[in-house]
Amino acid sequence: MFRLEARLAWTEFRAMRALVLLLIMNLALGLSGYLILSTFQDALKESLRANAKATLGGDVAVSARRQLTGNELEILRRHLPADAETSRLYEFFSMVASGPDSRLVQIKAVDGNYPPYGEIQLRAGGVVTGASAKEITDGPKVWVYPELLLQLNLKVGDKLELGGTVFEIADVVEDDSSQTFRLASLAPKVYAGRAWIEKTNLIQFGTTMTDAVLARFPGAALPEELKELEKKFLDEVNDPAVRWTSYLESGEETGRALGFLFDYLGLGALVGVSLAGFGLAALVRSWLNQKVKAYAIYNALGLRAGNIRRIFLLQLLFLSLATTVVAMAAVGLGLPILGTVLKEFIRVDVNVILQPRTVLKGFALIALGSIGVTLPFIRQLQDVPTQRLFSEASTWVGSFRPVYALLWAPVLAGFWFLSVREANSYILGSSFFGALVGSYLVLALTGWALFRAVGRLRGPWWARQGFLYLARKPALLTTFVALSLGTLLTTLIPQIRAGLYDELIGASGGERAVERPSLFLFDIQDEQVDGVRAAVREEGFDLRHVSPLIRSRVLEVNGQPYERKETAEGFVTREEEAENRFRNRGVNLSMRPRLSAAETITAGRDFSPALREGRPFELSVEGRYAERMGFKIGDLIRFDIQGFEVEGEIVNLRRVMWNSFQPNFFILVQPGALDDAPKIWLADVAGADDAAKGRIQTRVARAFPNVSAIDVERAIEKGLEVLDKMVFALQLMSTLTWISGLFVLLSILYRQLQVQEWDATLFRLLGAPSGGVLRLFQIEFGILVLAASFFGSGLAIVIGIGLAFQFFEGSFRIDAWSLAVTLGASCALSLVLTSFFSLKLARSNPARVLESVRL
Amino acid sequence: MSLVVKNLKKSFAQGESRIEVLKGLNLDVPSGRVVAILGQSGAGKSTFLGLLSGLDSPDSGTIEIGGHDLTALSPEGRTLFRGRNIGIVFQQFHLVPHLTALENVALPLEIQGEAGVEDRARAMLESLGLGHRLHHHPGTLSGGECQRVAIARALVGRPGLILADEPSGNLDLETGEKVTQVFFDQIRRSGITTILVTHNPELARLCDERYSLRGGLCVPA
Repeated sequence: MFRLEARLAWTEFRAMRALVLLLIMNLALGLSGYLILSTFQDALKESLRANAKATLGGDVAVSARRQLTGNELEILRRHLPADAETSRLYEFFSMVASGPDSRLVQIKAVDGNYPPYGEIQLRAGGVVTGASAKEITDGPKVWVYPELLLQLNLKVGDKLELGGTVFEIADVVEDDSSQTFRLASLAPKVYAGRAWIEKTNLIQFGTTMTDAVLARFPGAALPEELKELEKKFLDEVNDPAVRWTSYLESGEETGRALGFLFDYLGLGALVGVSLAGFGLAALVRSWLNQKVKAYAIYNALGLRAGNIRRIFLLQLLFLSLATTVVAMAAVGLGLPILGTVLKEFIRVDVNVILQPRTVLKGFALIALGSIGVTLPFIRQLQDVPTQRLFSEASTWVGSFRPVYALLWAPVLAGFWFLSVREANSYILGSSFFGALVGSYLVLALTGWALFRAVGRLRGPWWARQGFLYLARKPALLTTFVALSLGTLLTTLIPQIRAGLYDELIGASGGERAVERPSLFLFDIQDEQVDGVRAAVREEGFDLRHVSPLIRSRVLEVNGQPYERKETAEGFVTREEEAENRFRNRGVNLSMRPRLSAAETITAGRDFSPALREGRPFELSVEGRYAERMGFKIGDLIRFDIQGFEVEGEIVNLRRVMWNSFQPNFFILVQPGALDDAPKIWLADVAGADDAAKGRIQTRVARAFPNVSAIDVERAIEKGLEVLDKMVFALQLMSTLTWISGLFVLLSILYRQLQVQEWDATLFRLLGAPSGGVLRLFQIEFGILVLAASFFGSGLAIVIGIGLAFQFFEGSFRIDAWSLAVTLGASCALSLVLTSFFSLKLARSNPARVLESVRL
Repeated sequence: MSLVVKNLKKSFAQGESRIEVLKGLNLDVPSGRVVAILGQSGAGKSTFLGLLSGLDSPDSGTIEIGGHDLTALSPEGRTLFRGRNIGIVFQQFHLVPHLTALENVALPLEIQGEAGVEDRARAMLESLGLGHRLHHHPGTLSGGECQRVAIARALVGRPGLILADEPSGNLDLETGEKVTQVFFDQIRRSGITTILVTHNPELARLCDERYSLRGGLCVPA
């Protein structure tokens, strides 16, 4: 029996070559996009893992954003293998001065063993490893990044002033394995001997710095061994301020920015997959309707419903195999080209190879997806209307009961899982899934209502028949949804880009641009605030948003200890990752008399005018931070501030516009509550041009060497570069998705052509001139394409406004130019296609009607 | 409307050879007459109907309907002529599936841009006993009902010539007889010239004249 089933499946397959080819191309396009993304993600992870040790500088880095204590160092020494090589370093930002000029640099103060892994390539001194002798540890000498020489007009042998001490430039760093591909690097690095840096006045109480010990294990450091050591060490240290980073996490840490990009691209690829699935459902339904009489005959000849289902499943299997082969060929051809593009694009040398695992994943996705998508139709095969063979049936359309749609539940659940997996986020993945399914439903309902209304319109016979097609052909509704969704996705990305640009750079050049800070100053000591303010004023500017920063850590919430959370094994979502990061760190508190323009209270009340006698002081918490930490209004939080315990009560939640680049904080405390706590100060300066910024930086660096002044505009520019690249990648993905959508449209239109060609023949038979038939189909497809473009882009704008409200603090403006181009291209392409089809229909030969009866 | 066919020839390519289906066929049907064309399978009945309806063009010869030479017209001209002057009834009904019975019957009138389309279509269907099935789609109608809708569609535009290809061939005996009766009632009442292609001698006996299609020619049966 199996041989018969296989033979029948194959014979049908061959008989429907054109449709099968469409199905394969349709699915292969969606699958190729998904596989290319998966392959890049795999390659990127491998590349990151391989570079992780060199980037981190060791198998393990134990660090704190303060100086490690003697006790912590002793605990570490006990837990590390006896013959592990270690190196200790300080990292912090500081201003360096040379003559009248100064610049912000990242100081790396190292010892003689640096780096345990990786190497530094010096211009004159060659390759430096952990074992090399280093001139910078023997005297007040530094190695600098080449751009610093350019910025300060210096050369090797010149002097630099660091924290009141003069250092000699001994060499130039040509290459540095610890330099990650992080896209927004703020400052050039300066390497110096740790012992010599300790002699300067750069490191004071509260200085923002990282103290780290890098350790290289003898032999291979196994992941399990590292995890075990981490647990023992952290349990004994018992201070969330101390972090343990192994090369395992380092690779993921450095790739986080790219990880987010890939998450979003993965979601884009899923849209392509969903469109392909949508096309598959539409085409398979059409296929089954065409085959239902043949199935009835099989049934009459003794084949049971189970046999017929197996025939269909075998066909799906053939389809999946063929699709996988075509997709693999496309991916195999495309990967080398895209690998080169990626290398240029994000400067990561990834070894892009199509893994057998990815091939299997693709096959499983298509095979299971095909079955999932067609499950309701497989159920429909149970009801083959064989008895109609004995009746005078004139049409053979399979009966699809609405309840069968419930059988799409498993494939929807699978798609939700994939969304969460691709986004690495329950919230983002579920939102994406909800938005996509919601969009399908909204567009389907809109199309249905619109076409019903169109069906009531009157006009010449060709217009009337065109209207009736729209109202009565379910396949046209499918086409409408596929096309409008493709338009939605293509339109959405440029609209979001407009919002992002507005938010970040104040494209209108209005008040917001003036408000944006030019310089950001931090590490200002209590007694330096007035001096820094005066120094800035002497250059003609005001020190703004002067805010205290009080380091603390959360001890208890509502009387319950708030402990470090164990890191989950295996699949970790972004939310869990973020929660772990948040919980493992202390929190900076601040105070301000009133909220800044970048802050809005979203729940609760404002601070009381005065501290409440005998009650905890009041707290304002940033909304998303509160969500991740599990805080709510009314919670009592106990903090440890440099050994003192204090308690506050949350009275409101705030929304913060983080990209305002003003000093913003997760937790604000009631003014006056922590006046006596040890603190440092942050501030910003706005409206300064490059020359003024240089003068302020130099003046501040000379008078207050521990105070750092960062050029925030440069950071914004770097951010915009990243943004541009991300938008480009997203745009590329949305264009691919649009092409997928267009291909689905093409596939469905082609089926419509086959179905309607017969109708066109009948019209011609009844005396309809070819011009009339042409106009009929032009009206039908014209309304379809224009309505899909209109509603797709309309919904994109609605979603864009929603996203802007959710993520960009409501900043949204319609990018009319992008909208016009996208819509114009979409309409033009679709109309060209439909005109071509219409012309073919209008020229149909009515003599076909004399042919024998079709199945 | 009279029908005059003179020396009609039609051949088809089959591989490297050509098959001559019609070999100089002649036929003269005065206006209002009902003529049966009998013939075995493969005799060329469908080819002959295709030429008479203007769906296809002959290799040579002429077809005059009501004095108009159909073979002199362009394909587009033949389409327009057919729409105005010829009604066709098929064995397989060939109704537009997404249109209701009423809409199917109204369609030829709409295409010709005539007035009172719906009323005329409704009246025609009612006269054929389908007043209760006006808004049903073909998929929900029985074979006999579908064929009556097809007959209504062929007659509603008051054509000068009806071409019928086995109008009861796809129906059971009882339904076929009923449909045949309805069909003949209508064409007799309206006096339309009719060519009925069949291999059913009983049906042919109801016609005024009978011819056989044999050897590519039309000979009296």
